[in-house]
Amino acid sequence: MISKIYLDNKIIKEIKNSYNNNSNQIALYEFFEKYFLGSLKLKLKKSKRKRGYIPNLYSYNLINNLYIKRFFNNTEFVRMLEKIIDRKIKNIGIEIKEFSWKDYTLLNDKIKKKKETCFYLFINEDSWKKEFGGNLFFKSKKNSFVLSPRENTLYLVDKQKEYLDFVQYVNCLAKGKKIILIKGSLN
Amino acid sequence: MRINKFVIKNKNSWKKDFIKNKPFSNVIIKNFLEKEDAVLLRDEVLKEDYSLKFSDLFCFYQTNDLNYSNKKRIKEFLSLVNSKEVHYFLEGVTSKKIKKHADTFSSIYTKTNYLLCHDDLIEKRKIAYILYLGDNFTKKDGGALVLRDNLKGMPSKITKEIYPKFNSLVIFEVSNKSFHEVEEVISNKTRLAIGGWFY
Repeated sequence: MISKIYLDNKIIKEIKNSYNNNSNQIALYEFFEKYFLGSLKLKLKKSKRKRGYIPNLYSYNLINNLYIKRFFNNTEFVRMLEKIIDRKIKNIGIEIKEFSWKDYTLLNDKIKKKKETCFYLFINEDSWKKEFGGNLFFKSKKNSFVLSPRENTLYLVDKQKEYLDFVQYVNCLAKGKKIILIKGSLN
Repeated sequence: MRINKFVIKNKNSWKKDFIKNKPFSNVIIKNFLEKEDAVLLRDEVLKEDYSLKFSDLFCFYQTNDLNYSNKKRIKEFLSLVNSKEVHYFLEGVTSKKIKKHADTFSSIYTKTNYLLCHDDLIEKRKIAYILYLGDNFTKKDGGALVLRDNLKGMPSKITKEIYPKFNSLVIFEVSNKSFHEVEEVISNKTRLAIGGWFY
């Protein structure tokens, strides 16, 4: 399921070093084997969606799929992440959101800020472009960084307490296209 | 710079509209300035420097506060906006006492630009105003000023969509319920406006 390269202990050690040397952030490209990514997409496509829309807070579809939630708690995946972040993971809380034209999330001061280690996985078409929007921004008073939707890329981020995040408005250039963002909170 | 005589003459009619219009007090006043003044103002404001403003809430181009501009027509417009004549007119329409000079900016929205839902309630803003100076917009262009009703203090259904028309002035009351947004511009038209807030 996970690309073999990410199951190699030597490579994981290098990834761990890069993660530590890069403010505890890393992007793992071509993360899943192609066949598995295809089946994941199919499962997501068939999943039920629930509309989430509060105009001054967010607009997206929430996807609830128990299989996917369980999958991201499987031993192989969890062990791999544990080796990179160098600590035990009790469980991974999974949140799956789908964004299409006119969708977004806004910064919300009422959300309690907390330090957490998360992974973010975008499932989208290869043809998705940065200018369509849908980029995931992290903002603090002093700093900011952005994760762009890139097919089959797993971003691992140790989010500091002062950061809030938002998904940039998806504009009309993305008409007819969708991105799915899977967030995993490593507890 | 002159306000269209017809506008001043119909103050009571605007006042009635302002009170009765939903979802919160608002009014659209067409042909606000004398046409030739609006054209000269448009031509001059387009020569201002605009920079891209981007956040979670918006993406559009904006000038600095036009009160610092040294351009002739812009200065004339600001003198008009901050004149006793306009304050008296606005106080008559909105029944709000205006205490100080208005902040005034110009904005340009091009294709894919937007401003998401918010209430404008910062400091002691009382009245928001927008004078459209660009292309006339219709539904197929997007770019509408969208006003929303509220349900228990949260934004709810869309009650009004105002498509920009050259030389139209929109004023609305600012409160914790004045939820509004600028719909994304989806055509190649330019949504040019001057706007700000009275305190």
